[in-house]
Amino acid sequence: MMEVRVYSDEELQRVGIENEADVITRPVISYWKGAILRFKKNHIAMFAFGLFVLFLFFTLFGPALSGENYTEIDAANRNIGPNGSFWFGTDQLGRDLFSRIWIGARLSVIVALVCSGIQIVFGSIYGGIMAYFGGKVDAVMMRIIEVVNSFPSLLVTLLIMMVVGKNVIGLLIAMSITSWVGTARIVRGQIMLLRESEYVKASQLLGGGAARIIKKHLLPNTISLLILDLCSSIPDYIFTEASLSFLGMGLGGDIISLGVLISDGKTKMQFYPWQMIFPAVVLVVAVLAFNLIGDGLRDALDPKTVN
Amino acid sequence: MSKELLKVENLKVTYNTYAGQVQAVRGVSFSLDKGETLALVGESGCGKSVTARSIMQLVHEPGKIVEGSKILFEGKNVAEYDQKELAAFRGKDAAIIFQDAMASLNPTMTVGKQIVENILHHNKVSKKEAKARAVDLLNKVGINNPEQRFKQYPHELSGGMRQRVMIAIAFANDPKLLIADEPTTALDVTIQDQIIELIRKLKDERDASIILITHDLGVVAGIADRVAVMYGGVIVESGSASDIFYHAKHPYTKALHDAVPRVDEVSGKELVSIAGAPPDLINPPAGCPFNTRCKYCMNICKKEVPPTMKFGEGHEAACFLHVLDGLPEDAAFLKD
Amino acid sequence: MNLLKYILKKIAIALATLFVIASATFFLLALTPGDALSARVEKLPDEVTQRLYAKYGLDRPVMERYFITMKGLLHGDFGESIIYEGETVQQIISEKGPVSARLGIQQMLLGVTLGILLGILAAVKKGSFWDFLVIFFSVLLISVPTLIFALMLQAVFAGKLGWFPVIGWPSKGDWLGGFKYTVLPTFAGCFGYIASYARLLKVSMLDVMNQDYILTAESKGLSRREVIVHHVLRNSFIPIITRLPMSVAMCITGSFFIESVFSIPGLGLYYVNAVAAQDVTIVMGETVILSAIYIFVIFITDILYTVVDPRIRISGGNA
Repeated sequence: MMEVRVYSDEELQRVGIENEADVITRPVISYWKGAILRFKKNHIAMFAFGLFVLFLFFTLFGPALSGENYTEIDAANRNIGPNGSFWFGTDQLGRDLFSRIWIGARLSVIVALVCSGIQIVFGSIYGGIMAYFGGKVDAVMMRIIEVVNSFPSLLVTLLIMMVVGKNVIGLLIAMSITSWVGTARIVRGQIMLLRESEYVKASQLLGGGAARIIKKHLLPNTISLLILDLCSSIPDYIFTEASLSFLGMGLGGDIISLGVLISDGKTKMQFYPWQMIFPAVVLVVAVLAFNLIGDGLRDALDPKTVN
Repeated sequence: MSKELLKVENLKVTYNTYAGQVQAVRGVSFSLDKGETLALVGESGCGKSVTARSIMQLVHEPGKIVEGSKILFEGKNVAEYDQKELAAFRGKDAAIIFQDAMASLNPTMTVGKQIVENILHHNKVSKKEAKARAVDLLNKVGINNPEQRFKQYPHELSGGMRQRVMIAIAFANDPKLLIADEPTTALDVTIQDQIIELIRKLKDERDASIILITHDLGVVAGIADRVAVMYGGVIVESGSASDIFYHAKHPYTKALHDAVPRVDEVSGKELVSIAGAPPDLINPPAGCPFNTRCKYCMNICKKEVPPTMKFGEGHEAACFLHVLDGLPEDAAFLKD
Repeated sequence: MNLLKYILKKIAIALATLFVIASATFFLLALTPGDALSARVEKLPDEVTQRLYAKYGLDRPVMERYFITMKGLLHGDFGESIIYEGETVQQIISEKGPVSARLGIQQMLLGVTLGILLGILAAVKKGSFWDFLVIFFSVLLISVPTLIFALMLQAVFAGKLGWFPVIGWPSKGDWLGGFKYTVLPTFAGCFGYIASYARLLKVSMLDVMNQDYILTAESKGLSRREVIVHHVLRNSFIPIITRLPMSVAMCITGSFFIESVFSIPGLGLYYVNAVAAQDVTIVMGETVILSAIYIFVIFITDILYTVVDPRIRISGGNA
């Protein structure tokens, strides 16, 4: 026999459809909030972020912390190993390596950031113009990109360094002169894609104004791509600077960068290996942190990522 | 009396997502007899596609079929098949076709090879023999110039033809069960009818059983023997096609009807869309899943899952309205 | 649009591009303060200096020099080195090209092969310890500059352990005997390939594995191995194959840093030195030739796309 359950009048009281406000649903997480949450859940990315903060701290305060002057030549303390007062030892002129490394890292990072900035801004404007005007303008600008792309980029960089000179400005120009091409392509592609996409068309049909479409669709999609572009270009610039300086085609003279320090250290590699190892390790750690953060962001910025 | 081919008992599927665990299917049970066509009907996200994929064991990470779910094919639990049994089951005993034929066909492999692959995997025949069979199949599914089409890539065919190729792959080994997951949704209306007609023809010729997944009641009418209406990861009503079409007992089934445009009803009647959105399956509402969108909702509906009630041979629905002494006046149409 | 027309159009574009590159290189060099002879003539009497400048045409106005140079390029005459008398661009390329090419090809073969294997491993064992290991190491490898690898390998395996020569390169035509010279430079340069190809393939494979046609393949009863070999791999190799020509182009250009660390007489090192010495003819010649190779490789890439992916058909458009 089936059990017969008796229902009370209260239970059978009709309530119909309640106001939407009363319906309990999961709070809507915005795109950026979701991305931050996903990033925070990623242990490796958070670890890298910690490394990055540490790196930033030392580039800002490192030279002051050691209390040693990074330019002071000290004939009595040449080529000494790491100790209590010279944490990373000294170079062949008796200068404190610890301070020098962080001063050098400061410049390397600034150069990388400025170059990335130039790349992103110029690339976005260029790509934006291409996508906005389309047609002939787009075709001509695309040809220019193809020409720039066909230039072996390191060759251009070397040539520019020769023309402008081996200084920071020269380096900035030389390293960003071809790199904007990738960004321009990304931005152009993204805008074209979005313009053709169904949901932007739907948004237009629903009366979404240009401002709304840009804010709701174009910016989030494009910005996340640009952030990823930035994360992969910063390590590239740090590398290129170091390599150019190493070849003697980058910075030189009194200017200190990680590349210059590694290059200086190389000559003493046989006898005083720490003079090269310390700047190299700092460079690797910085680049590693950027790469891992980039990886973490890639996952975090893609809402489809399932974790 | 016809014999039972497939019996699904208490199927539960969960998806682990960043936001939480999605309970995509929350205890679905149904059975399918030999030669029968069952339509699983419901809105997007109600769990019907996941149910279909579960039968083929095609639910992958982050999805998971919850332990204890039973998918009995000829009495044996598919969920417990080992690799070898599964390899023999898929493509031979059961086949599946998907909504988007373009995405379902390997873009870098000729359509012929994709059919041949299925034949060779299950039959000890020469490549030549397999090719002959594949060409024959292409012919059977209504593709002209099968010899030539055999050598083409999916992007060279039209949408309707691609779906025909998918059907050819599915029927390559005379499966006992065909699962068609929204097979016509991506196609033009005129092509839709042809595809459904083709599936029915092949099914009749080969005495296969079909599970047709669709959100379109119009498609169901032409082919289904029985219909199960899914909502929020559960079956809310099931019965013969005529039960569901003419004697709906669940307000959701009724609402689905009202949302279907009909040719025979001339002006005067408006299409009624169902207000609101399907429930969030990460935090499924307590009680009846339809309670947030049902205008007959009662207090009890928000607390308890409605019991499944029988309304005659094979006709079941889960709704509290039917425990009332009499249906409310505006719901009287659920009576018969 | 038929294939011939497509190729002709591509060649026209390539020639125009080369023209722009040659011009840009010429004017950049012309803008550079000083010239190749300034160091050489410092202590020479004025008369000799003038003769030298006249010999290389450096006394003429920029535009005239430009036309002379471009005319020379048109005839395939790149001129001779200003620094090393009698050396022509053709000689240098034929002498140093094979060195850079051998190094590059060895690095690429090793790096790409290992990268592909590791990428497959990471994708197939997704979420496992192996996946973690591969991804961890590839990020680590990407984060260490080639330069530092080269210096470290040199210090440890040549310096400390003495297993391999510190610097040098086998003489011309000596393919097997001098193998030991090539080991360290090959390893130093292959890490970049391993890391980038492993990551590229893993991402690509996971993307393909999520496609509906993989479900179709599984629903035919194919085993996981069959699905991966017949359906996943081919489709996920598309980005790999299209990146390969770029890698080839890079390795022809030579690896400047590795050549510098191991004192390998390759194109890269020579080019850097030529730029530093403002050896205009050599820089012009090398830039044009290397760019031509580069452009050719990009063209090959376009063709490869259409071969690997039947969906893409050659068309006259930009796409």
